Amino acid sequence: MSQIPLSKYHLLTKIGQGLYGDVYKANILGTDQYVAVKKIRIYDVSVGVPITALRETSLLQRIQHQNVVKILEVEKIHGQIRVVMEYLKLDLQQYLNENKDRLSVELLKKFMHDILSGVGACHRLNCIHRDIQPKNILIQDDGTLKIGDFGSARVFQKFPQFFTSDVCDLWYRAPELLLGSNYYTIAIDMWAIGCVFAELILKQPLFQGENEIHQVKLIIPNVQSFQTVNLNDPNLQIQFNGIITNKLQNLINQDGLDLILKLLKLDPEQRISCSQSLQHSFFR
Amino acid sequence: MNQNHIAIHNQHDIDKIPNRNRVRSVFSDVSNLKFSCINFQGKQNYQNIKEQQKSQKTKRRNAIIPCLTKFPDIYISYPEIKTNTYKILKYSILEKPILSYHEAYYLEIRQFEREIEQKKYDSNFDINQHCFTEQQFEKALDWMIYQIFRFESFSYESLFKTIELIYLYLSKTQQVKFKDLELISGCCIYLSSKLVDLNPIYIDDLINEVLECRFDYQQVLKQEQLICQTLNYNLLCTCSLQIVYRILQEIRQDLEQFYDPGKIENLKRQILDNLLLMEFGNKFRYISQCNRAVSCILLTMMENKIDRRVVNI
Repeated sequence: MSQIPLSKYHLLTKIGQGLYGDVYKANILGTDQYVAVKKIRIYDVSVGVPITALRETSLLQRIQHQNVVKILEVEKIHGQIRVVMEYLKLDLQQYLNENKDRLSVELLKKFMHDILSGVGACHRLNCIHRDIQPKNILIQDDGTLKIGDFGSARVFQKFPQFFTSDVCDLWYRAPELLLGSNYYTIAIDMWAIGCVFAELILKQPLFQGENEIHQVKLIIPNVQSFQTVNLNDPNLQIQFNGIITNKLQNLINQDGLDLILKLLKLDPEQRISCSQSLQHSFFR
Repeated sequence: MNQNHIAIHNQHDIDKIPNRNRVRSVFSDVSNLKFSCINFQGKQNYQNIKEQQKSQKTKRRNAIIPCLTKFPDIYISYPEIKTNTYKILKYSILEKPILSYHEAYYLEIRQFEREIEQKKYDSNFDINQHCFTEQQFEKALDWMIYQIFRFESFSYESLFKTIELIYLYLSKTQQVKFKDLELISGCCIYLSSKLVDLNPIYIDDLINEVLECRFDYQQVLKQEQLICQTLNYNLLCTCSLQIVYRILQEIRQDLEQFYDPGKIENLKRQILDNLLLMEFGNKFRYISQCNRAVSCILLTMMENKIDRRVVNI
């Protein structure tokens, strides 16, 4: 080809589909280093730069943490915006699918520690990730977990504040979101982390609802009416703890179960934060 | 409270500077900020300048007035009727428990604010690197704020963000012409609205209402991309607004003991207006954000003769 390529990166194969564009594996021309390139699809020309792209690029540039995916560059070619990030082969979902054995307690501790410190770094910068699920947690070659896909993350100035309630993957959605509140805090991330933790132990998602109503019924089985659900009702919590304990009792030690129960509190006020959970006796 | 009261109180307060210092030191305890000598002086200067500015530049005030008309009920109902009628549950049942949730994240937020405070503030720019004067720039900002106050969905947060973005962009460019300022601020409005608001402003509205059809789609989108590229797609910036919100939340309980919700709401609005005034003056840019936030709260409290007990707590 006589034309000089404008991009430093040579796109190889499509490795995934993000919220607003396709992700390609690419290598830097002249080297054998691989990177992940996210091509940002512009759906609607009249809207300009997509907001999800802006949020992701600005947040990733701000959050410099070992447990968060690194952004290398944003380049603009042929009127197209490309976000260049470090290339990580595996994500947690693939890992769980391929690896049928139960994870050892040491590995669980390491994974949870990585996830919690990554999300904690993001919370410290007043930012909610809003889309934590195994698919968005990537694994480096040496086993370090990194949080990725900040497409639906957003920064808040004060909280609680009104946001869109239609966030998070259904299986990892916190009860206050399912009940239609758009007045939530970073507690929704903690619920998702709790679900991921349980998934690491069970090797399958904790609550696999088909739709929102089914999802609520999985969490609160004998719900009468969605308007009257009071999340800080202690009876509900005891009942819910019973469900979780039944599912996980023989698979995890007492400390781990305690951490899960603290992460999966129905009442967002009582859910523990990232820094608190990193101090939990499970990690000692 | 009538205007005379406030005026007399202000004069009274200027005479009693030691008192004021005491309050300030208390505030530095509350907010855990270190006031260095320079900041200390700068703030005193600033308060004097600001009071002068408020009396002289009445035009500024005009720009703010539209926002007051948005909340007429509070103003009407405030002094006489001291019932809690507008404490009606506006939000869902879920709201109240969430409100106290921020206790758990208290340490993280503190840490974050300390980081902001230590970080060198990089969005200051020299007016000489561009082709317009300070007056022209302030006029442009004035015009912009006047334009966007008409939009219901446009929040204070995005307003502050807009100002921050304009400063950030100007600090990274050279030789911007005065006639481009309008387009730049329009694009910053659009960007920050997309970033912050639940229902972002439509580009049609932006072009028709804010920019008054002087620019077309292509120009706006091109400028938007240019801004994004100049800032390297990093549009995050912290504003003093978030520190104000945090402090207000902390002292909220104490305020509620002494005053009714209408008064508090009123006070909050005044603080935000003061902050807005300060936010777009170029000479205040050298005061750090935390100090700006604290001094605004302090100033408003003095204007309103807030009970000393609240300040001391």
